[in-house]
Amino acid sequence: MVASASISEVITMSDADDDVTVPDDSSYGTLSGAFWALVIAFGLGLFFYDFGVVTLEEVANGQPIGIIHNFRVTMSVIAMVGGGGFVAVTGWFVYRYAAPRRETAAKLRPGSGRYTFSVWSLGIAFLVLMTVFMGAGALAQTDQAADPTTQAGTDRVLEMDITAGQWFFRYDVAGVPFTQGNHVVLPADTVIKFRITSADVIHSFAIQELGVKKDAMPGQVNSAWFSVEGVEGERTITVNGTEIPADTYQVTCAELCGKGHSQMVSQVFVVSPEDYRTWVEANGGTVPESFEASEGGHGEEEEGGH
Amino acid sequence: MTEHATDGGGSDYDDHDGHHGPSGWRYWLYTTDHEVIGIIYLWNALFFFAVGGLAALVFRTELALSPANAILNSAGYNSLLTLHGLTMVFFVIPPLTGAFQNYLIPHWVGAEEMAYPRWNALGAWSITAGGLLLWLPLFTNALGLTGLPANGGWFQYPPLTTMLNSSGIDAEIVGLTLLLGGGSIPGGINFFVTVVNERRPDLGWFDIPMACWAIGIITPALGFYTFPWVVTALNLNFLERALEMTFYNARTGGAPLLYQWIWWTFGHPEVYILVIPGMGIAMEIIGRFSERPIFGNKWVIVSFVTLSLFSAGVWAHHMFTTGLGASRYAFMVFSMVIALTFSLYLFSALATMYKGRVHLTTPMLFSIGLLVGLVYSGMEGLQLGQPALDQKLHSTYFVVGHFHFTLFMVGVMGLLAGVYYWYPLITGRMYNSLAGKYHAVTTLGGLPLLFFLMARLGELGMMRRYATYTYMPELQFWHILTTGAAFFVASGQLVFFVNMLWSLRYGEQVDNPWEDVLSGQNMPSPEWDGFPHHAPTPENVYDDIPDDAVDVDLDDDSGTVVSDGGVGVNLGGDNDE
Repeated sequence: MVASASISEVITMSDADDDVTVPDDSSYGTLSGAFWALVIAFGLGLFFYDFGVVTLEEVANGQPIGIIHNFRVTMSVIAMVGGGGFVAVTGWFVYRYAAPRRETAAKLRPGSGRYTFSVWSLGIAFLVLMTVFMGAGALAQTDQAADPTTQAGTDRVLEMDITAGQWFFRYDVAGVPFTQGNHVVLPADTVIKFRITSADVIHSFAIQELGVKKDAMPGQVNSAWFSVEGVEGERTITVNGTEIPADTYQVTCAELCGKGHSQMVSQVFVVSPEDYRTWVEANGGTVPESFEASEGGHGEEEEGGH
Repeated sequence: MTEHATDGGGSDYDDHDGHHGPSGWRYWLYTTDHEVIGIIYLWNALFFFAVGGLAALVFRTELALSPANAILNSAGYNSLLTLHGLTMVFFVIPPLTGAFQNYLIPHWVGAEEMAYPRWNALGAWSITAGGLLLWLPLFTNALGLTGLPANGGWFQYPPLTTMLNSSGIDAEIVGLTLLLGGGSIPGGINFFVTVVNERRPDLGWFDIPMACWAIGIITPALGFYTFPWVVTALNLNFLERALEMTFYNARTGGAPLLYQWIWWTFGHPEVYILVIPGMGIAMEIIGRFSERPIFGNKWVIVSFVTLSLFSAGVWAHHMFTTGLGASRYAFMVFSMVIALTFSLYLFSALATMYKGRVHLTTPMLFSIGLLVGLVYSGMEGLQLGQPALDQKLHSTYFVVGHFHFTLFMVGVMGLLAGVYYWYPLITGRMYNSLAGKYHAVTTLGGLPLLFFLMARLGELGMMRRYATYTYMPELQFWHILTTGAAFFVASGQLVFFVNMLWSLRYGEQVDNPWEDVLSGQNMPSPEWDGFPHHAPTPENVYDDIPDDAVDVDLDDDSGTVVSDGGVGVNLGGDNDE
């Protein structure tokens, strides 16, 4: 007790401003702790804004974005509570223990805080374990190895081959007699299974709104799937003089592929399955059996949707 | 800097050998003095920090001006982007770390010199040489003499980089090989051997300072494990380009994915090479400016060691979209587990500050900024490490925000803390404190603004490395905000440079500006106080206290009431007003 007081005295005395030859880097008044805590709080506010928007925002009605979004909400809440809590405590310490206001430092007793430290670390270990299991679950659901028709809530399947190149995407959809380029017409309420490869360098096929991203590697074929539920009719496309409602999804290239990289964009027009059939037949094609066979399952899919 | 180096540290070593060193430029070029070499590292790092930052400002301005090309064409944009990335990753953070490694390691371990001084001198100049090779093509291209500078992105995936007809890529591969083969790998061996072999006999493993653990042992060890991978990856590409050999070219039987496996085996531990030095420096500073020994001293070291080990096993989380199969599950698990080791570090830092007396000096502010940045980058990293979420986030600006948090708000932040902390030691002069505080505001407040805006852009659909965004012109509003934030951050860095240069000449002359804060604490640091040295553990720091006094549960802030509170609880438990 006595010794500790003497150490505090030494600190207090030597910290006084009387020694003019040594510049004191920290002396900007007793409010400096509050100021720096505010600076930290500013960043924390932005953190909550970014992660909060993710938690609250609406995403497109489809898969795998639905699975991804649910998992992201959980992860963002963990981040806001855990990470946000940590930063808040840091800011609070900066305010609470800043030197001009506080006269002494409490001593760190050897071995002190061991219990608390262990509990906190175990808490983190538990959270990590949770993210591992949830992550494995989400991955299994979004994977092409999974049964996409269960995830998408529909039996209807349509296959598509994508070829990426400098700087284009080309879509060969089963049943459509020609290759589509700038845009591709696809049906809603259908699992779109696609295979993708590249004609030259590495590209990546991405539909941000639907949570789809797969690299196009030369000499390798990758596959993935996605589906959209329902059509809102943001726009129309014309078939045989009639306009049918369609939704647009932006396709971007997600791997640097040269100077045309940022122009390597394309669009997916999603129309209802009935309109899709009309569109394909108007273009001289026939819808494949995997799409045909499941027409009867349409009613089930309405209730099974996510 | 120059003055001190010439008549202070610089001549010390030469005097021991009983001869006069050369003067003028020869002095700098021929020196094998670790302090002078450290200063050469520092100049290199600061120079490239400025250059890399200016490049970023140019293309950020470009993005704000118009959704289409404004100042640069797309190839020019890709070039500046690539140069910015390569410069910051290879020519700023490692040389800045190297400045401290060179200058301080011998002081920390009580050695007269580095284990291999000549190798060390070679390393210093390999930075300049490598950096010039990287940047010269930009100017020769502008003059119409050569092709474009490197423009395949900083990880330079073939077959794009194999196919690009740009002599800048060859120059860059040679430059990086020079830097890594001539500097980083032997440098790492040198630092490691110096700590292990040249250490004073009375200095035990746990007596060396925390910063020395991080930048003298962990970082070099990770470096000489990691850098050979990247030298291999790049030079196989060089052989493909120059001699038409086949490694990565699918058309002739190669595998483009092979490059990514080799590259990221380097690439992930590399991230830890960039952040661990800052983390070590910040922990050192947080302890001293909280007037407390580092909480869980050995746990922090455990954290650094496990971080390095785990970092070598998570690399494929950069490749989740390339068509990997079941291995994604394994790499996801490893990536999540890393959070645990980071939390050991973060909790230790927070527990060190807890009930301390926190001096908000410039180095301390930057160290606190590092803790905050580590959390932000980690919280984004937790999502990116999940293969399911990566399908949405990969290759968007969310990733850009994430790794800028990691590299700038953790890596560079900690090193800037070190620059402020040791500036008076190296130059014998004090920097301007108010300017330092401005730098801290712009960095501690501006970086979250800048990088959370980037993450927001990513959510909205902005893809990484897009020279234009005509597919989504409404993003321009967010790009303007982001560029504004970038200029705010840059204004602080400008003040930092002016401050460093101005203080070199006009700063107040000091021996040890931290004397007031640190002298009463019985927590000496070898670089300031010399030897004999004892580690700042509670047992050593409070050794003038009788044993029974330590065990007495003292009631309030003058006492030792830490055990019940630990981290983050009982926050307002004591009252000292």
